[in-house]
Amino acid sequence: MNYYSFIAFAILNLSFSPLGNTFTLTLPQTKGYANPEITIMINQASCPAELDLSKIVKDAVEVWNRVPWSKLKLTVGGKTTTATSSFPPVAYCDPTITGSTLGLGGSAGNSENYLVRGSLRLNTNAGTAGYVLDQNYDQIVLVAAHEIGHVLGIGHSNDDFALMNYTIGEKTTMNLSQDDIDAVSYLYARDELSGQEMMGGCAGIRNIKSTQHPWMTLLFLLVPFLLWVLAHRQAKQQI
Amino acid sequence: MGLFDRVTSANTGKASQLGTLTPYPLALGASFDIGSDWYLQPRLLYSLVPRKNSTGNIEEKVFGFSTALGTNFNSGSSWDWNLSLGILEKATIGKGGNYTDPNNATFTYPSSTALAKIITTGVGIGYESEAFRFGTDAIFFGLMNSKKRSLNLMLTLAWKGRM
Repeated sequence: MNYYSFIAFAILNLSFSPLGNTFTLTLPQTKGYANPEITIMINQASCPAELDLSKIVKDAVEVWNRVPWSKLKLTVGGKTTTATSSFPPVAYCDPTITGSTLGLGGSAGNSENYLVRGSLRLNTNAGTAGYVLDQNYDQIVLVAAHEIGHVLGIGHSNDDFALMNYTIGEKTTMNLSQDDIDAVSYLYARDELSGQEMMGGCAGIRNIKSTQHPWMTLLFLLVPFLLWVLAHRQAKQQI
Repeated sequence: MGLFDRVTSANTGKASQLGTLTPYPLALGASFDIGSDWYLQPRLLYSLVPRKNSTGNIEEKVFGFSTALGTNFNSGSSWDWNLSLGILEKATIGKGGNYTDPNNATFTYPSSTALAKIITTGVGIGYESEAFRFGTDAIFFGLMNSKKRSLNLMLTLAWKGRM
């Protein structure tokens, strides 16, 4: 680098992804909720004793909060006795759901296409094919996360891998597909150039139950240093 | 860190890929020397081929600008490293239409354009031969938020010529 150089970068992004991009919305032209900080209230009334709805919803909202392109901040609030679509949105158990439906979620909008209320419910109708307690805990959380997607205004994706696919399929692990990420970043697009917290927002560091692996980043950041050590040793050997 | 547990393309939902930036952008840049061992490297990034679904209802592309400040590991060394700061914009362009799932529930494709703009930070390393520079860069989104943070890896190939 002892002279000016002109360079061209061919960038190969290693985040290979299917060409899906088939996310949909629950309502035409919906803009999501006007305020991206949404609290979901909990109605435990019709839930079996062994179903801790508050814990399930707390675990389920986490996956939607992870998207860097989105300004969405989902939290879980206190108890409520409401068992209908409302604002703040409410989660409850529904012993009247029939068939193989594990859960239902939805939202309603106003004339400006903003969502103004929503709800999600889990099938607690024992004996039906969709009775959620026939699933293991991780799958119940998956169902809740899917229904939260509907509360947020996201429709079904035809990507089999997507959390918002119409069926739980073989899913056992909570992760978003590219379609889910695209959907939440479309409805709740983050704009760090217009006053929103930059670089994800420092405030987000608090109250975080980390499900991620800091050692991976540390390892990656060590790579330049290790390469430098190798190069340095080679240079010494040459001398 | 959300390196390997973020995005899934597996039926089980298990994570199987890195990062969240997928419209395969191409970046062009130029390197300007500052003194003998430092360089400044502005880069322009653009999706030449937007990502879209088979029916064309949604299109997605990214546009960005970043600047890297780098230096050689040792004076005259072929190895260099850099830190970068940039802006990245993701445009999701909805073209409307309906989708009916196998349960006969009907949903709608987006019909307007949404722009997401985020600050990116990066760290990179490169090796310079006589005619080329090979490098790799780690680009972070949401660096300050351990929940939103994600990583994209980029490979770079540069050829040198006097300006």
